[in-house]
Amino acid sequence: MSRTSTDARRWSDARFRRALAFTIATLGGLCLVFLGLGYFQGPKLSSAQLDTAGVRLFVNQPIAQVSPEQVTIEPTTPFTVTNGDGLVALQFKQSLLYGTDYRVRIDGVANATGGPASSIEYRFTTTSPQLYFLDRGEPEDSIVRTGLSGASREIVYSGRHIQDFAAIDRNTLAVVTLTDENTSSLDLVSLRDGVSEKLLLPDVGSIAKLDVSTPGSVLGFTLSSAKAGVGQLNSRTLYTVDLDAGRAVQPVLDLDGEPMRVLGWQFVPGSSLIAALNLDRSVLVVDPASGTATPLGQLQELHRVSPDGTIITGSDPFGPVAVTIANGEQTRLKASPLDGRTPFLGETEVLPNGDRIANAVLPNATNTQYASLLLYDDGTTSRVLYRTIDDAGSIQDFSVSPNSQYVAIETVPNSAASVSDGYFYDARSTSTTTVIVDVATGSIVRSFEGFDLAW
Amino acid sequence: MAEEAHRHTVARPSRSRWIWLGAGVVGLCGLGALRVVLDSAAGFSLPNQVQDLLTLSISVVVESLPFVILGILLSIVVQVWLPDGLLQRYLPRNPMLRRACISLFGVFLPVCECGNVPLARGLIVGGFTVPEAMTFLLAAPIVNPITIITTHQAFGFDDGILVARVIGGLAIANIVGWLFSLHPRQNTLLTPRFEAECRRPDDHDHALTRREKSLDIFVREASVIMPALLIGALIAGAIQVAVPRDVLVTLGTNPLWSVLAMLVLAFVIAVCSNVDAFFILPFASTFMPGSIATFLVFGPIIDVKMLAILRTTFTTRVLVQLTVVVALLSALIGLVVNFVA
Repeated sequence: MSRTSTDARRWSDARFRRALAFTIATLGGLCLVFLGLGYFQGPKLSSAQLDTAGVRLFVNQPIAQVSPEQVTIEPTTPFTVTNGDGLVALQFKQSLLYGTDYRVRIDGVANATGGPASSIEYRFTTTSPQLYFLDRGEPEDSIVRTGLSGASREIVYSGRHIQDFAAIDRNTLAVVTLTDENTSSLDLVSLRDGVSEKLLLPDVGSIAKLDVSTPGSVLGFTLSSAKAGVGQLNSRTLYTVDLDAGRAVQPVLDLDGEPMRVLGWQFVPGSSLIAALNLDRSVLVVDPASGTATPLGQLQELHRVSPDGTIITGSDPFGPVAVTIANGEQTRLKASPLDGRTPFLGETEVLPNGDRIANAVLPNATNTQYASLLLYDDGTTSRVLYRTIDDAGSIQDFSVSPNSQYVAIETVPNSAASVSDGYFYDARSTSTTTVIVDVATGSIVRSFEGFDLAW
Repeated sequence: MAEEAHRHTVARPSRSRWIWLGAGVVGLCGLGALRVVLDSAAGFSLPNQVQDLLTLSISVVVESLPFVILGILLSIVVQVWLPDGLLQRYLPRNPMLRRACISLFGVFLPVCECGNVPLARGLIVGGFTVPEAMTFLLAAPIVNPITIITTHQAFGFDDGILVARVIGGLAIANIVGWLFSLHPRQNTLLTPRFEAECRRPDDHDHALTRREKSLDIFVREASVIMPALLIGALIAGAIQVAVPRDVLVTLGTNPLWSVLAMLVLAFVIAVCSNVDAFFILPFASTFMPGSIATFLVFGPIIDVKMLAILRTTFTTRVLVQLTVVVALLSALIGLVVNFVA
């Protein structure tokens, strides 16, 4: 081998060795740089999952225990915090406000093994709900989809003689219509393709008090048999249909094991439990899945269940009463004064913070006239959420939003000029208007003709 | 007559190859049989650590063996059944572009890292350069479709782990390919035995039918790879028994040590690239995302079992250089992911 070729080989070998050494040195240097950068920046937020109950923040490394003092939520919302490995879970104690920008910040977040601390921040905006309401008209009745603001109005279903409806989810409605024989039929309507599916009822009769569980898809209603004569509501048997399990319509059983007949009922929000007042005037909480029924005392009327599912309101001969579901404890609800006068309470709903919204009437100073009002009662004083112009109308019903931020009020603006739509069941004034009021401020945010608003 | 005699001698794989193949098969079967016998033997049991060693080694073999055989079969297809120079004909002439294209071969081959070794050997025998075969070897287990699908199923696009794995794997393969393309005497990168096989004259096999050539290659490759796989599996099992995994898991939660811990874990665990994403998934909330990316990039390229198998082809010096460069590149990918994600 010549000297020249040996030199060339040596040069080539050296070139490879230099390239290898340079590569190793460069990579080693870059590793040290990024190791330092990564270490000193501390834990970082990787992703987040938001639902109605809370927010789960995934951090890029296992972190030390996070205390509530390290957490700030704006606007202020009560919460609990748990964490483990690379997860911080914040559970909201109250439902969040609609259409609101939230900011969650956790300070002093450090790796579980120590090291520099950092702050993680997550911002999100809650959605505004889609609202559905029933607008009866000629030649057909309509179920309309709308929002909390603006004037948008989309007819999602039309048909003759719609008696009632419930929004099961964003894509399905349960619609009760009146037949020409004045009996009810119940259909599931897909909003995707408009396909309608008729549910087979156990009896021919009239449906009332349609409700749907939240969350879930259990439908409930009372059915009054037509056999004893049309219009004679002699049955009021409570039925449920678990739409996830099929289409079987099952009676809810009373304490004696017989189908329960009710004066009033409602799903307990946040569950598929049922709060019902049977014909014996016993208040019961029933689990349709297991069939267990828990008696909670006696009432004359059942009004509502609080949005957090903890308190049933109703009335006995002496006035409104609140029943705590957990222990059956009954508390007398007394109206707080409004401008120095004491209103008479009607249907009352207890909010998660303990305050109340109530349908009420207020006599004038001479007790010669009565105003129909919707009141907000904080336990000390009352304030008016809504009253009709010149107190000429009446408040028919109200529905508090699941987060207690708004209340939808069904009102007849002028009682004297009211004309019934003449429906055999659930007849309404043709002038029935729904007004949506911000509970905190009392300001009206929406108003439209129609009723039966579903949040 | 002389020609017939020559054909007779080359048509049959040499006795030593049959012995090695037999040793590999007997070893593999023996491992499995020992485990079964011990399971059913009443009143006798090995110490826990030995049982763990057997179980871990057998699991590595069971997981790898089908892919090794598939890799050998693909190697036979490349060397015997595809027309000469077919693959090279359509590749760019520019070395860098050429290696970039070769690094994507794995997209069409659902074979994990062990199976790619015989295929890479086949590519070298078939005329590819050593750096080109290396580029294929390093990229293929990561960009193969099964690996991509399982990684996606495990992690989706969370924290950029899938993207870091695929792009990182391609980058490592091409950087290593470039680096070794600078080596002046590439034949010295190979073991003398394999280099001798590569130097075998083209007309050596002309007397054989394709079927005979296929058998010859199968026995030759199996006799090389099987014992290596067995040894690699035993070493991997032994290290896993010896090194407490808890220590690595604990280190994996520390931002300073997590990447290094995952490098070591990937090295000793020797899990197949097709399923390693599911292996590491339960640790996703414990380890930092970059550490997981490091595990998923480094493991398919370098581990105990792979080094044993690669030793059939490359010299120890090359394997040390390869291990250092790939480890640093994998660590860098993990550290960048930790910083960015």
